[in-house]
Amino acid sequence: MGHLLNGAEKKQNHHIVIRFLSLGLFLVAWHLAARAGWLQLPTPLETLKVLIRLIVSGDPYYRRTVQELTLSSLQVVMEGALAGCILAIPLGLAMGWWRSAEAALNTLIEIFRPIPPLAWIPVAYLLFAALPSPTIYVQIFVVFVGVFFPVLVNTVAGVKGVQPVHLDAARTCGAKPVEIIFKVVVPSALPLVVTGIRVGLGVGWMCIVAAEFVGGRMGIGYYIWSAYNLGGRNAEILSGIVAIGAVGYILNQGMLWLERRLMPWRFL
Amino acid sequence: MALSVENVSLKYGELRVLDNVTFEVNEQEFVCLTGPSGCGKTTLLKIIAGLITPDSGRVLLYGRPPSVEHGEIGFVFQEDALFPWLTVKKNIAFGLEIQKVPREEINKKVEAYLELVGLKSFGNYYPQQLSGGMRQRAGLARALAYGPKVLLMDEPFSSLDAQTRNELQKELLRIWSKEQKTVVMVTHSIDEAVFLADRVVVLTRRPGRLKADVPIEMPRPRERTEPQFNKIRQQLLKMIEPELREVGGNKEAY
Ligand SMILES: Nc1ncnc2c1ncn2[C@@H]1O[C@H](COP(=O)(O)OP(=O)(O)OP(=O)(O)O)[C@@H](O)[C@H]1O
Ligand SMILES: [Mg+2]
Repeated sequence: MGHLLNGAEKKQNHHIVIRFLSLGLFLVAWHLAARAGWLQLPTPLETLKVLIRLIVSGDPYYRRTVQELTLSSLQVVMEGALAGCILAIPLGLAMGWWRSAEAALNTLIEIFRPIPPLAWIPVAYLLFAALPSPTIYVQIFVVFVGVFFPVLVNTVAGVKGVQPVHLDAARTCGAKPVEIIFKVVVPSALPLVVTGIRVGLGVGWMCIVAAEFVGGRMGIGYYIWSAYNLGGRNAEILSGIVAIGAVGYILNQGMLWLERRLMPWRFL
Repeated sequence: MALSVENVSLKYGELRVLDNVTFEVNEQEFVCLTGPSGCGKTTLLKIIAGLITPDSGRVLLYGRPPSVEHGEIGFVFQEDALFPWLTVKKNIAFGLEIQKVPREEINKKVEAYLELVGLKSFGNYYPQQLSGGMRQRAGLARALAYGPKVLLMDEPFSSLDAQTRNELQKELLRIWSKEQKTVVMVTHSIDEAVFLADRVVVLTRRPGRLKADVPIEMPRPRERTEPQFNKIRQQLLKMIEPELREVGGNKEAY
């Protein structure tokens, strides 16, 4: 986690044909396998037809378009991610900076960190049982857990990676501790913090889809799971999968774009 | 007296690094500090800057202990110390911003120091877009921009090729006489010390003690081809050689 490309690797910006070659081959293989009956699934084209219908007129059973379903999930992810970042970034800064803060919290965090976010679903339903609509809180909580740890771990690593010579340089210029934190520690740690958020959003997106299988009547995860339970709606399920993949891809690309905007010096 | 180092000793745990080092530097004097690798030169500079407190002894800067918070010291580091996330301009402005200098004045000073170190057209470059020599120039500009009285330099040119190094030595002398700073510069190169310094302070191998304090009485500009230059160089080498033999260290570096 938090591995960053450097040197020539990141400069490679291959021709669009090469970049989408693997996707094209995959679609061809899928098509052939579905045609030959090796896969009990609709072909890519059949899926695309249904997907377009779901985008344009929506699913009559649910009275929702696929983008409404996806955006509803995305909103939950954003809320959970925001909560995760608000807690993880300051905590990570503190743990990276003060050994005592790390010592005090590390055991607790290392015990909670390996627990899969989805394992919290039943616990969260118990926790939020008294609230009027617990499901939404459960989902936000699960995303929160999924985002929290990658952001925390990367922020701690980012702060620890601050070059001592940069701290000394700032000190000789007369920087006081608060200035050192905001003008040296934060920019030094930023690349890893953003990587943590990017990884966290990916995890959060996986979490929400799974959490929607279990409860609630909204979101893209709920849609594909209930479409499966209705039966005979394979193209709808695959359309949902395509939407999930597309949103995950866009989230990641959006974060990569943000990295370039926030840290131009890393992409020279 | 601009700077006095009085009986400074320091240990890192059990490791004795500096042992009772005493010397003084006059206003606007250029002093080179040399000694075997690991004898505590960097540590001594950091003590002078107030970044590290010695176990015993003290440093006085114009009669007061150094305080990093006042920006009295400009420090050029042994390794690359520019902030990679800031452009050259913003690196140079860093100290000025910390000292809460008004914006217009910062802009003026940044331009002036870019010009001084010959990086006029590179202000908007990021450090990693610069060559090693240009980075050292930018580091020097950052250290000078906020107007410190004393400039401490830790082997600023050690990673540069001989040609760039000679060029920067000349530039440094030009800047030094223009800016009228007191300079303490660590170097492993006797040649560099003889070319630059008013005085050379030599430390022994670790724990670093004062081995010699040698004035270089030779008018500037100095020419490396002059017989006098070579004579002084030989004298200094003779003085330092025993230290190197004791460590079994490498003479080549000198
Ligand atoms: N932060 C530190 N903690 C423990 N030991 C240290 C620390 N910094 C330096 N030392 C030790 O102190 C000794 C002196 O280090 P210093 O960097 O001052 O040497 P130096 O004379 O600058 O060497 P060089 O010429 O190689 O740069 C070395 O043996 C080094 O291992
Ligand atoms: Mg050193």
